[in-house]
Amino acid sequence: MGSTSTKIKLRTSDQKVFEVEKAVAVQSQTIKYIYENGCPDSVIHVHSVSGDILSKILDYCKKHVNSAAGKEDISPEELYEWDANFVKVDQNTLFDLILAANCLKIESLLDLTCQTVANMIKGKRPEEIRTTFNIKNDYTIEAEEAVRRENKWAFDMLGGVGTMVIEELADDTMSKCVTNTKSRVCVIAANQIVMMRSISKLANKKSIDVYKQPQNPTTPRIKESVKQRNVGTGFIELFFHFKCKM
Amino acid sequence: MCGTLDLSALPLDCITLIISFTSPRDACRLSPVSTAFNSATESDAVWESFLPSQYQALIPSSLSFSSKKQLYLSLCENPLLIEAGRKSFWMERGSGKKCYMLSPRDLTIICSVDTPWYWRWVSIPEARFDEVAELRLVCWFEIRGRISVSMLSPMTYYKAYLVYRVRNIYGFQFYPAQLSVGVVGTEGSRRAAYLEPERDRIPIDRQPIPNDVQFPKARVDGWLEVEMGEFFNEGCVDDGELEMSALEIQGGNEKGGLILQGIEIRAITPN
Repeated sequence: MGSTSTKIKLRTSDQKVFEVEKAVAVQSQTIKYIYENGCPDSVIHVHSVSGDILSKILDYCKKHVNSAAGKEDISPEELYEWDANFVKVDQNTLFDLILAANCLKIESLLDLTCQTVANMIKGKRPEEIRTTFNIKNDYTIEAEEAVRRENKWAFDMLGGVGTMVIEELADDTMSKCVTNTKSRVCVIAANQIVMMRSISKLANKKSIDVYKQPQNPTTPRIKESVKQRNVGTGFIELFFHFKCKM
Repeated sequence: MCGTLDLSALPLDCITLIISFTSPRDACRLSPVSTAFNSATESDAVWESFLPSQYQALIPSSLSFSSKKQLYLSLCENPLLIEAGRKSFWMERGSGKKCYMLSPRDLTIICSVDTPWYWRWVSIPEARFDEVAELRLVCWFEIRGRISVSMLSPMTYYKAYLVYRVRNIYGFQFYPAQLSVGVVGTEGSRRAAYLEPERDRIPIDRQPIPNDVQFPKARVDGWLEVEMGEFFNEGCVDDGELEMSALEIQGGNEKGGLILQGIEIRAITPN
């Protein structure tokens, strides 16, 4: 009985049963613990995870196990592009993934999903964050004022090197930014196609290095040449000098 | 992406992890979002994640802080002397990236050893370090500093500055100093700057002054600075040392009248 074909059965909150290879299932430290300390043949209940979410999570685990074991020929760059696409889901699903990754103790998935939410927060004002996540403001006016005053420095916008997390960018906006550019490293979050046309304009300026920021913070950055057309999804970081109003 | 779910419904651990993936500046901007967010953003767990590794070694035992956030802010606003006073350390407030100033004792200053006729060591109250170097007279002006790249924050854009003041400065109006920053053994980045602060003193035959030649800028702390160059630290395994140098050796003339506080390496970060 080869250990490569050991399967573990998982039952979700909505009574769906999944039969998974052990190597994939034990990506979850919780499942690993239960399996190693319980009866190997019994079904493990994952009470807090629904069938849909578990299915997605198992896709993730399988992809990562296969890539690490060399079963799949996938470069680190391709893997984190896969990861970037994996988290392109609606907010409800994203939160369910966070809860499940937390509960199942799958560290890399938790990092990936939390980093995705973090990217939605970065650079935003409090009002924008409330809108994005539908958060109710439960401060009194005076209390909110006091908190803002305490953290005043974080709201002051300085001139100098700035970053714009650019969600959607028209070509002419990008070229306006470029005329002030002294630096070479880029961060742009974006609609891929818009960015590609814009980046090709940058290619005519001074040399520009484009670094892809991975969704998973532990993955090393990969430097792209501007001339390549398939930069891919996800963020690309941009530093440039400009003054702007907050 | 407009959501229907309240972010603060996530477990506190998850919120803390999410915030720790943003930046100190973002964390402070989150405080006014809601009271639930405020408790998350004020938590020690979040601010611990923004502190540099082994930060405990940096803090003098005499100091105590009411929270990790206060500790973080203190490390940003009050530079600490490290390495027996040879360097000054602080963090850039918005991002937590490490910054340093190398004291003159940590630098190689040609003609500063053994004799006080060229450079001499003085103590002045406005200086960060116990001793700073006063230039009385040299013909060969050369200053070099080195710092191990591993001391810098990874994936960070840095610039180095020569920090000094003038006291009856003379001889620096004829040629700009040649400045550079780069990892030892590589090309690095270069700048040119007149150390003479008064543009009017530059002789007519040197004018017009090219655009890329700087003049010193005034700093908030009252000293002057010129940019020596830039460096992007990828944080790779092969670290090496970053070398910063300032030379004015083109003009063989006598020059003097400046007081050197050191070389500052600071993180330039997005807002």
